[in-house]
Amino acid sequence: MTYQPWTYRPPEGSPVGQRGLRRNDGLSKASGAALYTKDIKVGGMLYAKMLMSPYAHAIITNLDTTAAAALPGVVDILRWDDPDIAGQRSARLSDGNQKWLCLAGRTDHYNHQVGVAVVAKSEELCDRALRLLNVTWNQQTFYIADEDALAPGATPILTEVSPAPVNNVLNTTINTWGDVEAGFLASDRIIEFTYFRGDNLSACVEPASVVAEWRGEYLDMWVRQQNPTLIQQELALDMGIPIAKMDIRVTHQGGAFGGINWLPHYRQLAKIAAVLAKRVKQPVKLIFDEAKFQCANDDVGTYNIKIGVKNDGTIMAVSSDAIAMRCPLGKLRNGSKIPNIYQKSVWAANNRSHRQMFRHGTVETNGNQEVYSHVAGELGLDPTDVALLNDGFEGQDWAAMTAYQIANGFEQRQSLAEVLDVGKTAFGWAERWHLPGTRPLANGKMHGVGFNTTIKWSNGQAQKNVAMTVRDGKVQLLARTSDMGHDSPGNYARVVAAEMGMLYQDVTARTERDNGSFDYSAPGGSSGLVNTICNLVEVARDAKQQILALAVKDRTGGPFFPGKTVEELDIKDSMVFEIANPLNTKTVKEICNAFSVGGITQSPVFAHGTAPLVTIAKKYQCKHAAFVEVEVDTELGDIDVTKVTIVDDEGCVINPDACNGQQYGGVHMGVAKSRDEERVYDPQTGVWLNSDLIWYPVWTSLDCGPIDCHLIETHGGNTAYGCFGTGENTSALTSAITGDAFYNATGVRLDDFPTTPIRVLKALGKI
Amino acid sequence: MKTIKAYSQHVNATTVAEATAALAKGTAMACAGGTDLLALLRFEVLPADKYPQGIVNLKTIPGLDYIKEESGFLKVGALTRLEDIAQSAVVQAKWAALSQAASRAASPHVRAMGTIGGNICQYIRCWYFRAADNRFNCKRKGGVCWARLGDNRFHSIFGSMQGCWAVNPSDIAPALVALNATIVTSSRQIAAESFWAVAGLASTVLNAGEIVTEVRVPVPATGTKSAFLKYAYRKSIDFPIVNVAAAISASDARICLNAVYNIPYRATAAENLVRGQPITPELAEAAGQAVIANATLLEGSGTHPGNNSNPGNAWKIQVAKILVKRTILACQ
Repeated sequence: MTYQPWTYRPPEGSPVGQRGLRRNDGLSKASGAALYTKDIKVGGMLYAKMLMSPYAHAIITNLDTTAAAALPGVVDILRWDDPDIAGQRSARLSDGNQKWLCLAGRTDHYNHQVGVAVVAKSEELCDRALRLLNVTWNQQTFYIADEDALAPGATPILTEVSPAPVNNVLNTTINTWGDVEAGFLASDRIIEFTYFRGDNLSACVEPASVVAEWRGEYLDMWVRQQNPTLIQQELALDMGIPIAKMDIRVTHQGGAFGGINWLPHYRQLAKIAAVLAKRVKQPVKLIFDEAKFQCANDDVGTYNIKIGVKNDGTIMAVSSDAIAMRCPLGKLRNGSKIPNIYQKSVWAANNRSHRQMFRHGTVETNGNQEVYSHVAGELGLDPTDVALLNDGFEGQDWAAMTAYQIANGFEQRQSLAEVLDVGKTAFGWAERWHLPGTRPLANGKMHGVGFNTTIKWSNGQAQKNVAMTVRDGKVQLLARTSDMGHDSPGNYARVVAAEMGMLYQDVTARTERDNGSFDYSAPGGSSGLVNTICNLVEVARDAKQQILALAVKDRTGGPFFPGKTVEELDIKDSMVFEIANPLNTKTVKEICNAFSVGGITQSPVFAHGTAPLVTIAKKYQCKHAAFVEVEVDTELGDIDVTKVTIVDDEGCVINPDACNGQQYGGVHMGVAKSRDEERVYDPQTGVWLNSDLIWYPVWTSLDCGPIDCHLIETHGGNTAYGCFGTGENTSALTSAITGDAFYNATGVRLDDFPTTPIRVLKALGKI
Repeated sequence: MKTIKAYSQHVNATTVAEATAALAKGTAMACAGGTDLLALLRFEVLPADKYPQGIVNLKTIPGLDYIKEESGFLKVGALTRLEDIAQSAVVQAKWAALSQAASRAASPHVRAMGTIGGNICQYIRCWYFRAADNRFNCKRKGGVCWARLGDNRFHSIFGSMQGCWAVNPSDIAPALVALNATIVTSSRQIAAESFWAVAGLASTVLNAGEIVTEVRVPVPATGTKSAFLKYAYRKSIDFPIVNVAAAISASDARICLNAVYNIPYRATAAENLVRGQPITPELAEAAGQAVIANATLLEGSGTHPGNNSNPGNAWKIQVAKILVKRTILACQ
């Protein structure tokens, strides 16, 4: 029998799935006491900031630091050509594998942090020193639009990147499944269109910063990072710092939906901080100016789509030819029966900003959105029916998935059917959906609804080490984790408590600790939980057995349960009890303390290890869907989002409150991005014009109608309990949904995102 | 975010005279709620030689925050917070446009700090003028207007004054013009419609050392109805893309737009159409059309359909037309 942890179910009455349990981080966050990286202060700490480029593309030809260095309180100035940093590279990308210079003597985009890092006794002194730098720049040709960078004869840019782009192409991705041309031939009709996605950014809550402190040859760092192991790995590989001599700590993370995990330039900051701290022989906090946070999303692009479809809505083939960082049809491949898919994306070098990836998954959920929306619109069908009709996986229909479920011990359920059932009922889809452009409202606006669905995507297994001890009656998880706002430590505690029979409050898991190599949750966040849940379950079960063994073990005065075997005992509510006589109980605390050597601090229980490897191929069974209602003011171009319903099939819900929180926040971000969020650049200089939260329209809580969140559980994940994670997927799902709703409201296509009033008025022919 | 650049003098004024004396040299800047000033300073918007050497805190002057109806006028102290105006039953009763304007200005948090005096004195809104680190030496700073050939989607639709295409963003200003208000300063009284100007960096006709002390709005004639409408990306917080205030009686009509020109734009053509006429949808439509008859289109220069670079200001002309129509209809 292969390892099938999805057949596990949480013990009845356990903390898994319970509402109302106090969050691990609730009190500290609600009271403002929770620490984020920028809050960290260590004794003797200095501050560091970097020069920001005023140009989109320029080379530093001269730099005079004399005045800055003379400013009292300035401790060090690191130039790009200093031997301590010169030539050092960083930033492995998940696509392309290019590496950028940590500290370059040239800039690739406006407000690029380049050239110089200043260390001083205060942030203010850093700013004053930076103002005193005398920098001479030689401006270069710049490209904001990818199409311009790719035009024949364009000037090569990003030439310092290694390997350098060829013809300003950073990477080309091509995927082929089936025979797309044959699929088009077998279709009743062909639908072709182009959709666009404007540049946007993360607008994450927390700015980037890093604290580095050397203690002799040991390096302690506080990082703002979803995946601290990446920092550790890169410092070890590129700077030769032994991993065993690094202590990488993470605090709470400020809501970036995974972006910082991949954000390569953060690794540059970490390296520079380590170098600076070593040079000045004091701890250094390197602060990135949050008002100029530059990294953007990975969905920007121009996507040329061709769809072949039968008249009943069965999609036979889809192709995408795009100028974009990523391809848009991967989730359609993993979550539909569409047999023939082709996608090609050319990732162009540009001078907007580096390394785009935030609210990850948006590219592919937008692909789903556009394909289903256009097919439904072209054929006059309900888009939810189109999605269900094409439901499947990897080009196969749901019957094939059912066979997979039977063969591998999964429940035989069709996630999308259940998601749609819950969502459509909650939203009132039957009453609200109508043919496009047919429902004027009494207020003069047009009523519309939009819909999107994709697979859920976090359900992998990671064989990370998990370790736990029991000291003074409390289970202590030994690990480093990164809390992205899901209350990750609390969620781990739920699982461990459930499997051991402990009370939730008797299991502790903390962020802000390194604990050596026990990276049981890296990356942090929902994917961290699902990646490691098998390990948590198996090791918790081991720990439980160790406790039960102690309960029957002989000792001075005799065993706690004389004459009993482990099999005759169990644990509930942190009490060991005799199954045949539940009133015969001893606390875990008294049993473990009795075997603790030298008082109560030594744990007699030490469980560690990883779960067996899941060997079957991972399939994406669980789906999610969003429904949005809008009122379109056709005179002003305004799309007013009046209601959103979202349903996530979590596989198994570990923490329903946290899941709802992720849904709510994600929808809010996603719909805002769909309607409003867009970076604007000055065409004359390449300067980012709306680089603050006045000009860049992140929505407040007053800008969206009610968001109605629902969860279901079909146990379809390839992890313990069949879990899927939830987080960024909710934002991605809704990030182009106003286009579909606008079409339903007006009967006019708007495939240019975000659907700002300007675009709406253009689409309607008003301007 | 950068720390604020050091300045050498901070005066907590206790009287209007003390404040005006401290401001008279023109090297210090006045601070009431601070919601505009602190952003200017923190982002280092101003040229280095215009960065203030001192800040004169007006909030410490007692007795300048009041709302009262007296002698045929609504009198609002310059330090009265926008939220207090929005919530005032006195204002709501007779000066609906002002109440609505105050309630739509900024966000709840900013309204709780921002004052009426500060709102009408705020600097222009232009992303070239406001770019951090004084990135663009724009017309108002002695250079050229970058918006004219740059991205001007939020800029003037009625041309430029002195070569500047920026707009005045005040929500309160058009209401005051429509309601025929008077701005009382430390040295004179100025009709609201004459209060704003292109004056170097500044957006008002105030002289060095002159501060606003009161806003005085006459009690409207019997039968007058007033209204204020604002259009912005976000309903909760944004500066206006266009806002309109109107006060219409059986015999008179005053209509003012803002965020469409360097200064609040009195829509006299529309007023002439509406004055003395019963308000109908057709009349309102015609008035909207009349307003934009003089609009100056800035063509977009975007070369790629998807990236929306520099779409021009045509959409604001459309928005202005519709908002004028709706504001007039709201005065029915």
